[in-house]
Amino acid sequence: MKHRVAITGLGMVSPLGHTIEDNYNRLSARERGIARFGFNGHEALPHCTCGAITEFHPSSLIDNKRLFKLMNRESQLAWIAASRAITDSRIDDRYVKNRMGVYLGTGLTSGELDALAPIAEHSVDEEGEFSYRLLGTQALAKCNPLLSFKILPNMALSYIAIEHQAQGPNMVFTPWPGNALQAIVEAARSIQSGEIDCALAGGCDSKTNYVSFLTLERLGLLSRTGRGATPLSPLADGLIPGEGAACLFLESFEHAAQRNARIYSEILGGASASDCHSEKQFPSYAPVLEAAMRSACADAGVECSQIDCICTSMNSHPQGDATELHAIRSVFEDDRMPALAALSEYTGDLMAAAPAYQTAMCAYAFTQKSHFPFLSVPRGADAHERSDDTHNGMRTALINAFSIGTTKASLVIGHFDGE
Amino acid sequence: MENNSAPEGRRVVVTGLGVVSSIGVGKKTFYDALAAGESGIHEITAFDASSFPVKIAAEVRHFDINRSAEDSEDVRGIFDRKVHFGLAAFDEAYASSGVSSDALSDARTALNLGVSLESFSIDQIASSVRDHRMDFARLYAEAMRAGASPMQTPLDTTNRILVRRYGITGMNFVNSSACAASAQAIGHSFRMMRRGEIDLAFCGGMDSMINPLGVGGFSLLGALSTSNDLLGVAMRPFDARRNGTVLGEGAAVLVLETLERALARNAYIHAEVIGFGSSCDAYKPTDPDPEGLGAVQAMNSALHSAGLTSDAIEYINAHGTSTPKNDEIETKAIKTVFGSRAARIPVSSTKSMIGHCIAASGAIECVASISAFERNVIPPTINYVHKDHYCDLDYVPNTARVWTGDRILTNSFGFGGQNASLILQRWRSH
Repeated sequence: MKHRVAITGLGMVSPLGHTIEDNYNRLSARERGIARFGFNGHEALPHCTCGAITEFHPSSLIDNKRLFKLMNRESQLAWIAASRAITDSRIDDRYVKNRMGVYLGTGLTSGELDALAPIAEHSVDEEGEFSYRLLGTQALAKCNPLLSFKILPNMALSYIAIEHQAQGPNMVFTPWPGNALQAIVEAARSIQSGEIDCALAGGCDSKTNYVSFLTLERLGLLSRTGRGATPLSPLADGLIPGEGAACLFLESFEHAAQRNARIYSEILGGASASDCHSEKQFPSYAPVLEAAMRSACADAGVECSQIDCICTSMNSHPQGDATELHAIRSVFEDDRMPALAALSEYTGDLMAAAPAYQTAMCAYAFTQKSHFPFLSVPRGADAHERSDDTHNGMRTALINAFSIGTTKASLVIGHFDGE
Repeated sequence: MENNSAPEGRRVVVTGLGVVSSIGVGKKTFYDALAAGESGIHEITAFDASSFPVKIAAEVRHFDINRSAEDSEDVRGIFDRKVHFGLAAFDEAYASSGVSSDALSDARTALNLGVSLESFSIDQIASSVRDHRMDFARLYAEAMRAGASPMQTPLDTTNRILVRRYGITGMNFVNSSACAASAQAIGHSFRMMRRGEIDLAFCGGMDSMINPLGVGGFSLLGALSTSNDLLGVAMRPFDARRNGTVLGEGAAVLVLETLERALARNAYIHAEVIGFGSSCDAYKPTDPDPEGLGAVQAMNSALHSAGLTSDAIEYINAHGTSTPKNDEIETKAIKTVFGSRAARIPVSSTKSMIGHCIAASGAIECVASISAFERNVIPPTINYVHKDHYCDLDYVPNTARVWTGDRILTNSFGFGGQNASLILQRWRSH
């Protein structure tokens, strides 16, 4: 028997706020959480515009001080998002611990140059030369002995599991959005197959730091100007890094029904494909994206024409966004073109957190009658048409995670109307 | 021996293997070294570790990273050792499987590799230090210089190269569940195949922490043995005088496919994968659950997924890290699962020979387990001399043992509490 999978809890932290309501309201108002952010070393970079979470005081939000000491920024964000998803689900402790899984997407380890800098600084001799002898005898002693906990990509999952006593199956996928979306799909599959009753599934990432800017620029992805232009607009010149975390609480319909849980949405299906054709990190080969979207719809048992909204992975990278738009147009006929959204315009590119964030926002949108920040899609070479903000009874949404890396993944979620 | 819930879904078999380890590059040399009880642990040569508290590791020595890095355009300039290990293990697995190139590019073929952590080039970072302060502008200029090596190699690098090199179009996963990563990658592939999502998978993992930050970081945690003068003997799982693990490095890739598909193409079958269990200690990030409850759950879950009771297991390839706590707790967990029968089941730690290969461990130990089927000998736990009151099982001490059993459980328990257990079955064609 294949169990249906419900989304019954949502939690998130993003540049737009710490609650689902804040995020939705600010997105609906088309507010942006993007600004210049003075991280360590930013003066050396072309710009420092990013989606940073500035009003964030993790020590006041994470009451487990022992774990807090071990956490890096991504783990803090993930911990808070997971806790909020659990609270939002109102599950309390009504789950069998070893039948609750955790599936998380995490990003490149990149925020720890501040931790590595003292090691580097103490490894250089008087002539300015790097010395292994100094590294071994002096620099290691300056290193935070807990550094490993801060840089291993699986530790965010470990902290979440400890906090919520989630002792069931688990997996961490890394480092790009497509990989992170696979975490949600695998969580859903594990519930569908009856292996577990419920799961926390999501992602976390933080790219608002020096090393991330450097890495993204080397990969040819970063905006050169920091303008933060709207995807598909003529001024778009690359992505604006962001940070955040989002978690979904997933459970089988039977499990949700037993406790009379509120259901935001249903996970209908998902799929991923590999882009073996492109040498670029951004999407440049549309047929792979088309395959991911078509396969996700097939897995969900819906016709492509039934998709009302696509939460795209567009992030203002001109070629990448154009490729995704081309793929969407190939899959969806012009007269049934779904409304498109690109939330990175408001939050910066949340990278490994983006798929869970987009899924959460779409799931929440199903329960709302207000506005959703759809994208204006150019119909011709020059024209931009402002799209209608109201979703008018959106019932099925497709979430894409195509923006970076070889894994291109899509997820389909549907409105739950009590049937 | 079968439990009441017989497994549903398709049968999954291993039809290709590739391995890179400190005791052998390639299946045959690896099998030979395992059976001979060889140690791959020596003084570190990958960098000057003479001033480090830990100076020993199980390095892959018969593998020229520089040559590999120059071999083809897609790896030029990549000096992250684990990437090259992963590529070599994949190549051997692919070649040995006899799988066609068309099958590699089929949408129902998956790539699923485990890996732990990007390696940062600390000497490159240090080259931008001026007057004992980090010069960010200099670091930026150096990093953006044409032809400069990346300061970090993204964890999907091996996957990316393989996808492009072999035209892989199906799903590809990068699992980063620490020391359980490659075991999870194999188990995950097994599950997807059983659920009918894929027909063929290249799965396993690669890792190398034998770099200044890896060795330094694990030293600071107190996880590594500092008995440098003992060289290979420092790694002595389950021995009363064990005092920490020794880092290893390497890679292993398995080709999994449905039994139906393997039979249809008359493929050689190395073994069958019949069970997988995954769990989380949810106890402490620094320590395993003192009762081994997470490990117990992973093993029980694997048995359940195989539709077996614990009576069916005839050999356990242990996680066996040679750290005081882990070995004792794994022993306790085995006793909980297997009861009075635990003392009669051979249990050995391949890590005694190859060191702790972190994310690659599970896959390499899976290959070591399959060697027990193919050579009819169990790899030993070498350096086992002093009996520990709390570690009182049959650890197959020091010498490989003739064995013709049918089912093996292999454990991988990760840093942070992620656990994975796999069950393998001897392939009998009749």
